Amino acid sequence: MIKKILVANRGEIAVRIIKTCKELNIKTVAIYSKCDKDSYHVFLADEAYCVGESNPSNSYLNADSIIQIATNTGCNAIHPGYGFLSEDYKFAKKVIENNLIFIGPSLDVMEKIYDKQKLKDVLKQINVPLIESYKLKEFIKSKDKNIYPILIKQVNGGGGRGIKIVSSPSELEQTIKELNKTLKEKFDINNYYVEKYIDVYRHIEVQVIADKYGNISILPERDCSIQRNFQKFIEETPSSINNKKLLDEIKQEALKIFQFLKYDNVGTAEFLVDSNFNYYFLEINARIQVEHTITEVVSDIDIVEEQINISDGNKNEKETFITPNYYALECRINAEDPNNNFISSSGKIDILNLPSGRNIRVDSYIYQGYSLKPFYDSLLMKVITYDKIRNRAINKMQSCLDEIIISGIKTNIDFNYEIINGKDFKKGNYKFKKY
Amino acid sequence: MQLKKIKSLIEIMDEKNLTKIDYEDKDLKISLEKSNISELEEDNEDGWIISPTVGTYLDRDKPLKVGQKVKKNEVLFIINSMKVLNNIVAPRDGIIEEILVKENDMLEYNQKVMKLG
Repeated sequence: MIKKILVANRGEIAVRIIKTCKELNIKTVAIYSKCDKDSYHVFLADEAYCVGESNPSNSYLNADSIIQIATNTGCNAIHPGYGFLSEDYKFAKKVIENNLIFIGPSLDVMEKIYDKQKLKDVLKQINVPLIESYKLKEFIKSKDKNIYPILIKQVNGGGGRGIKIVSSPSELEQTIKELNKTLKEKFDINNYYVEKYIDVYRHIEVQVIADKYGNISILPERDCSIQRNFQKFIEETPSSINNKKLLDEIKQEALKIFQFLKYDNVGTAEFLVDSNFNYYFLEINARIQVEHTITEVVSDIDIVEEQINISDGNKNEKETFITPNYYALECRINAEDPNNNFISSSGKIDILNLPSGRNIRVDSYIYQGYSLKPFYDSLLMKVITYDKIRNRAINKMQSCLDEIIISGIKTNIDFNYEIINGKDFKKGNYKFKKY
Repeated sequence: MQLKKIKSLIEIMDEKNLTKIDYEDKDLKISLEKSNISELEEDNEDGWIISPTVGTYLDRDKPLKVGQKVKKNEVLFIINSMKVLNNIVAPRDGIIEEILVKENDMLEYNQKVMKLG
């Protein structure tokens, strides 16, 4: 029985995990880097320990120190959150070797999914529609492959970071030179793969909850087509695409994939849909995601609780396809200045007022008087609204964004507002857009 | 011109942790001396020895007692970090004024362990 969990993360997701643990009477241990001592997640946890310097490699990515603290404080499990070590196979292995439970998929499953390019090769066997892709090394050798424009991605990447668009062979040469220059000895060409850049209409993803006994549940799809630099910032569920048949097919495909992989715990299969309504498998995120929130509100499920229960060996007794009770929308509020190239904003939050009310949810870790730390990502909070009717949830979101008062730092609140205020968004008739 | 040279000298002092540098060429003769803050910095916060890593505190062979005199580079205690034993040594001569932990206590990063007077 999981009784004490070390939360190996920070910011809003650490707060999120700790909250569910409190509800389940599970004790929590927080870790914090030197500069995060005044963080909200530290305040909420039952115990908190300094794990290293501000630099993530010394703290939040410091596997040994994290495991040491978990062992020394009598934890029986580690929840890795998202980002950091959440999809790190080596970390999960070390956690288990130290007699701790890793709250996430089993090692077998992680090993299958760890390498995104290899996973595609595996899924070819069951005819999953894939985007044409090659290992970067292979692609460079065969100069006749004219599938430009292409995306260069990291094999173990995630969260949309480090993706580059390349339109020609000479640009590819240039990009590799730059990677060599910036990463120097750390640059390993085997860490990269190349993918054909398709004309994307929508990004659709499917959340799965699966126990260790093969009982898989597929939740309502999420539409995460509004992104900037491959980072999502507005998500909705269910998708506003006017093609129910397509959405059902995608969910069926997701079920097929998770069954084939014998997937366990929580994860998401991501797909891209082109303007001809063809869909392609993109990748699997074998962890909880930022946007898990909208799925929770429409299906009345606590996804963090599901993760813990499954890791504890409990059975999943939910039906195979779960239908939503609501429509939900999320806006990610970041500390960035849209009027200045989205440069990250830091500083002290002098005044803070958050929205609240019926069918409104806010997940955040900031508080009035808190000083933002420049070493980590800029996500401040997630605002979620839900309603039986899509347009009412959108109106509610606009009202919420108006209600937020933050002074002392710059945010993308107005930027979010303008997008959901747009005619196309309100009609549900928009195309995948990278702002 | 001279300012650049002087700035480089100061950089070298910082890099190599020197407290005094004498320099002479046909254009410049200068002597730079740094006040002795480097020793205090080794102490971190008025004599407190802090843990440089997460781990478990282990007494050294002959466990230290409050009031005991120690010499520079003498092993004060050991941190067991993921089964690797790290010797933590005295940054200077001094007297142990306080010991905040005991054998097998967990040490977090940057935790005050003992005070060197």
